[in-house]
Amino acid sequence: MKNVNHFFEHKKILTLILVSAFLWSSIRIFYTDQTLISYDGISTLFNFLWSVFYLDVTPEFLVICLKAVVQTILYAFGGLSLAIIIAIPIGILSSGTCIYNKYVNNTVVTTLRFVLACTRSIHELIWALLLVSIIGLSPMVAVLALTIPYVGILGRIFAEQLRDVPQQPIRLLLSNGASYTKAVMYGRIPLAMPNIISYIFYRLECGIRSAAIMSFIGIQGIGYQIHLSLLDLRFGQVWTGLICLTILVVVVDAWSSIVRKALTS
Amino acid sequence: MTGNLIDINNVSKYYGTSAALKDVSFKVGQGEILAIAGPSGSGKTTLLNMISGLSKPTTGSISISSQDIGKLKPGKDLANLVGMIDQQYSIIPELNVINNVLAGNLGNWSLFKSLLSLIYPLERGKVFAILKDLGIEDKINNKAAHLSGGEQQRVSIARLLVQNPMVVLADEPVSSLDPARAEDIMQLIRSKLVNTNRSVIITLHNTRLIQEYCSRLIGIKEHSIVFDVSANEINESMLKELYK
Amino acid sequence: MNKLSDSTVKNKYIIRISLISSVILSIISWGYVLFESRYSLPGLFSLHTVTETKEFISKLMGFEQNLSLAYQFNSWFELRHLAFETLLMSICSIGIAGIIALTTCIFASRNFHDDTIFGYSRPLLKLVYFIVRNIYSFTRAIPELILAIILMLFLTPGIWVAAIALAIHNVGVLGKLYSECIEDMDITALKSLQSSGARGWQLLSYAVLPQLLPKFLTYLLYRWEVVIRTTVVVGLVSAAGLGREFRLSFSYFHYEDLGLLLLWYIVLVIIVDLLCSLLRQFITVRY
Repeated sequence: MKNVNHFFEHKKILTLILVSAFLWSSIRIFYTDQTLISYDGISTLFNFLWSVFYLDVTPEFLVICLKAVVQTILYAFGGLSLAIIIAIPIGILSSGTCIYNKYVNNTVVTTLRFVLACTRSIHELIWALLLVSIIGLSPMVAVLALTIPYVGILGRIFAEQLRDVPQQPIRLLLSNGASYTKAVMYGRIPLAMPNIISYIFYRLECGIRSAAIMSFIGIQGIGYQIHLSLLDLRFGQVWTGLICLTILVVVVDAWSSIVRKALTS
Repeated sequence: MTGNLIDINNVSKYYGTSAALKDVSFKVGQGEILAIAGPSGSGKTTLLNMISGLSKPTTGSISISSQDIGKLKPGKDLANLVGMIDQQYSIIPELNVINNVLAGNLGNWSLFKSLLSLIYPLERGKVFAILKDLGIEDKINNKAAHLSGGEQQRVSIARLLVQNPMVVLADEPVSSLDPARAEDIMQLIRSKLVNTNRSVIITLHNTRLIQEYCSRLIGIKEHSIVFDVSANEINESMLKELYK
Repeated sequence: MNKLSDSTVKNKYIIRISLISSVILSIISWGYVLFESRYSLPGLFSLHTVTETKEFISKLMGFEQNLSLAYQFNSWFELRHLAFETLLMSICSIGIAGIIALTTCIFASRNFHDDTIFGYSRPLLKLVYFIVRNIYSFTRAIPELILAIILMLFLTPGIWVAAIALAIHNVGVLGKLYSECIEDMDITALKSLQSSGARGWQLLSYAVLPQLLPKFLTYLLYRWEVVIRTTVVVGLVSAAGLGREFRLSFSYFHYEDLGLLLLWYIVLVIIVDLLCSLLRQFITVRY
């Protein structure tokens, strides 16, 4: 433990740095010659906010919204399911627990961790843009653009969970003659399974939101619907779409917390 | 007793500069039931871990049936030689009883067979017979986490029976059980696991259980052996000295 | 070990039904996606894609135009202002979000309006709780991108649009995380201090802040890592920072510029990740 004076000095300096960084960035961003709100911005703003009372709840539009919500859910599940399937073997290999040979193990683990970090860092929309340049417009692009970063996220969590399993049952399996790989199958995976499933359901909510913004490359979904209504300046429809999206996310979030609570009890 | 199965030769284990075991040597023959006693932290678990091949000695060697355990990698050879059960971690709680028992085969089964058995357990009849012998055949499809402590130890004994190793190690198998269950488990160990071809090493604290069930006692205190006697030479004062 | 009980059986059902319905939904999704993309699928799995990918990557790295490494490095360096702007945007938005979340999270936590802290229930606060919680849910659910497009309707295009959009969204995220921290707070220290006569500010600084502040800062840093990745994307629509250049290069098919921008993107992400892990260590050492 450092002595008390030293401790307090560090704390003050750190807080000072953080606060000044924040203040400076805010000034740089907001202190400009241009007026923040555009020419007829105020009237548009009020128009937009007031339109919440003119929600478009006509049956035709509600059906469109419902269809769009279903499409978003389907894209999210498609992308996540593929991500899970790919992330399982990658996660197992990159956890460093199933290969006996030390050198092979280390190379495999380092390369896979690097690959996972790369795919994880790039936002799904950027992946979508890159994939569109190669493949052209296709619904598969949306699914693949969801899959690639989620493989990175899920793979890393799988590896961590497999590593952080209680060690003693694994050692006993090994002492009973199981090879490392069999110890993974019979020991690590069953022991880590509740946590892994819990995390997958947690990511489901993120997946739905990511699927919603795939509208930018023209994929049908609730995001696309909101975008269309915005372009037409039909603010009532925009509000309906936003509320549909919120309800979808809230429902998925509630479902995921129920499942996670059931898993950890 | 037909020849020595386990040969422990000047084995020491150091973690950095701190010693877990200092220069331990003894031999165990076939058919012997050896008890190891000693205060917590004296090195009993370290010794058992080294005999089972889980950790390697810093100096010295351990051989079972003339094979150097330190040189074997996890797999078939190790499975046939030695198997271990433990105080509480002998089973995987999330798996079914039948899969836990069949885990004894993992040394001998191929990867594909092991995977298949997880989905559709093979050798059901054999497992059922073993479990019936142990009195828990009705739990065969239950999740192992739902069994009581005594039942779980029976599952781990069943696993050892399936694995059929030459040496059985038991690290404090009854320490967390009440006296009646502990007696049951020791009975089972004696009747099912002990035979003339096998050696059994058990870590125990209870004098009466040692005298009743074991043929030899080694006392370990402060990382070295303090005595090595046969069962009829045991008396209370030796053990009192040991745990002082 | 525990025997089967009512709640365990219920939990088993919940998990089983959720897993089965997820699998069924996934199968339906794949049917739908494959059906929708039936025209483009054969092309996807052909050799054509492989060659296209190779071409694309070489275009990204500037090989097609035979640009020298020095020229590339120069162009890359010139883009540093944009990268810096993007970094500033992320700091500003996460800061604003943090401040607003910090000040409002107390109203959104259940212990504040029921009898845990003050010993009696305050119904007016229940209403505030309801409103604040729902605002959090709403701003959390709307992706930052859509928020940015909406803001573009009435704000002049520029870096502030992205900052505000990100700030609003993250207020919801951080607010929920913070209020959950408060709900899971350890009350025993608080109660014992209360009984020895401490009031208000004393309680706050001795019992509450020491446990909450490290968690709050950790969550803030964790969100910053996410925000820096999303800032570039939001910049796509709000004509700000790296995102604006991304869009332009993409529209003009200037792939070598795209490659340089991607490089800056990765550099920014690495910098922020490193800073975050450094600061995180600092927090855990301090407390």
